[in-house]
Amino acid sequence: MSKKDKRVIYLKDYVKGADSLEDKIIVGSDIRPGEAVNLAVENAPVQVVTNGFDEFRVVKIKDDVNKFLENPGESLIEVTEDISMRFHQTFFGNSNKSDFLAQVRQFLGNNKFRRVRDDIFLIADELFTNFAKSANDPAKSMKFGIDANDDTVVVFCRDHFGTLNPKDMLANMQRCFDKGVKNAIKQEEGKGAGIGSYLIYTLGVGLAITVDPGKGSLVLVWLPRTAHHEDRIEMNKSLIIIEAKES
Amino acid sequence: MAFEIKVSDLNGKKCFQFSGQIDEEAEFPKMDDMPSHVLVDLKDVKAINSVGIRAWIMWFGGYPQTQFSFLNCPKALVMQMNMVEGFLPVRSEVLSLEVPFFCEDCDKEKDVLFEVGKEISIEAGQVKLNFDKSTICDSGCDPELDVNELKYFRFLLEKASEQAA
Repeated sequence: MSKKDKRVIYLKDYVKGADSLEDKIIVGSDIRPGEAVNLAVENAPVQVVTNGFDEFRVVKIKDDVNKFLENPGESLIEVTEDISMRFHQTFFGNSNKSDFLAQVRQFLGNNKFRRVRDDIFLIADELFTNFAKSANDPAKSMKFGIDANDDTVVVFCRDHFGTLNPKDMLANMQRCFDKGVKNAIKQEEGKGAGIGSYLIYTLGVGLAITVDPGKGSLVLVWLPRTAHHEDRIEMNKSLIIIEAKES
Repeated sequence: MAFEIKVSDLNGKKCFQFSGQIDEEAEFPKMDDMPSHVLVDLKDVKAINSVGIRAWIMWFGGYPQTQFSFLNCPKALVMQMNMVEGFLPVRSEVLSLEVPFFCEDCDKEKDVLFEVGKEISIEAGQVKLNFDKSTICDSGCDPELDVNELKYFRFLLEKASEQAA
């Protein structure tokens, strides 16, 4: 693959207004989390890559979105053979959330996950709760997964109906960055303030939202396995928004 | 585990014992006669999600005149105190919290309760820890604090600054 892929734009070389950033891979060495969200809101779909993440991995994902939807963990990291580092479950619209979370908690009991355990538990809760809200059919299924190696943990949730709206998620996240969570909650009294998306994004170092309308949606977070929570929440984050085009 | 609030008296003050998961199923009751100072024991809180965070902020925000003192804060809530601005009510303090340790010798995690004013003190704008490591694990073990010490207790410094202002 050419290092001069036209889909990749390096922020240090970019002249504002010269090119559209829509559906481009924007690469910058120090893009702060709120800035990445603003770039995504203005140019979605778009992929914002920072903090040393390999932009050509994103090129590969865009070249085969179906493969990413089918094997999201393996598309991002080298998945190990160690089954204690892998948890995949399929759930349905009428699955019990407490049972699901109990299984996640049991898997995370291994002290290899001690620094990410509480955060992954929260991410799992958010992903399951959002799925349950959008799955108005008890037969609709989602696949939840955790894949980990020594360095990175990937947490994802994939459905097969593809109705996720990335723009809504991004707008909610932007509101939390602009006004703070407390004010975002007050402003949206009576409605969901959407702080779940903000939390998921803040807890990791990368968030991918992929939609193939009518076929599937994927929300995926990745976290460095050994970083403390209080360090991770301050790290820059990559933000990958992909909307598959109908072929 | 369903969320519950039990009310009791502790050292002459009203004490609310929160337990369970604070999520979309959690109901925070309307309190008509909220005292001016309340202890909130969080020992049995298992987890909180975004809907729970919203409910927490709205409920505590409904009693701006009450001083809340939080005891036995689990790690999951300490995370929110550092991550979500406004999670701790304006008139509040944290009296004790869980601090994680890890022992390489016996390969075990230990969550230890530290009290503010005892194991934790704030001096000249910094958090100081004073504890006996030998009591945390088995004899001969050398457990290490498993947090970024400068950042895990940051919410205490921010609270101290707010109250000084």
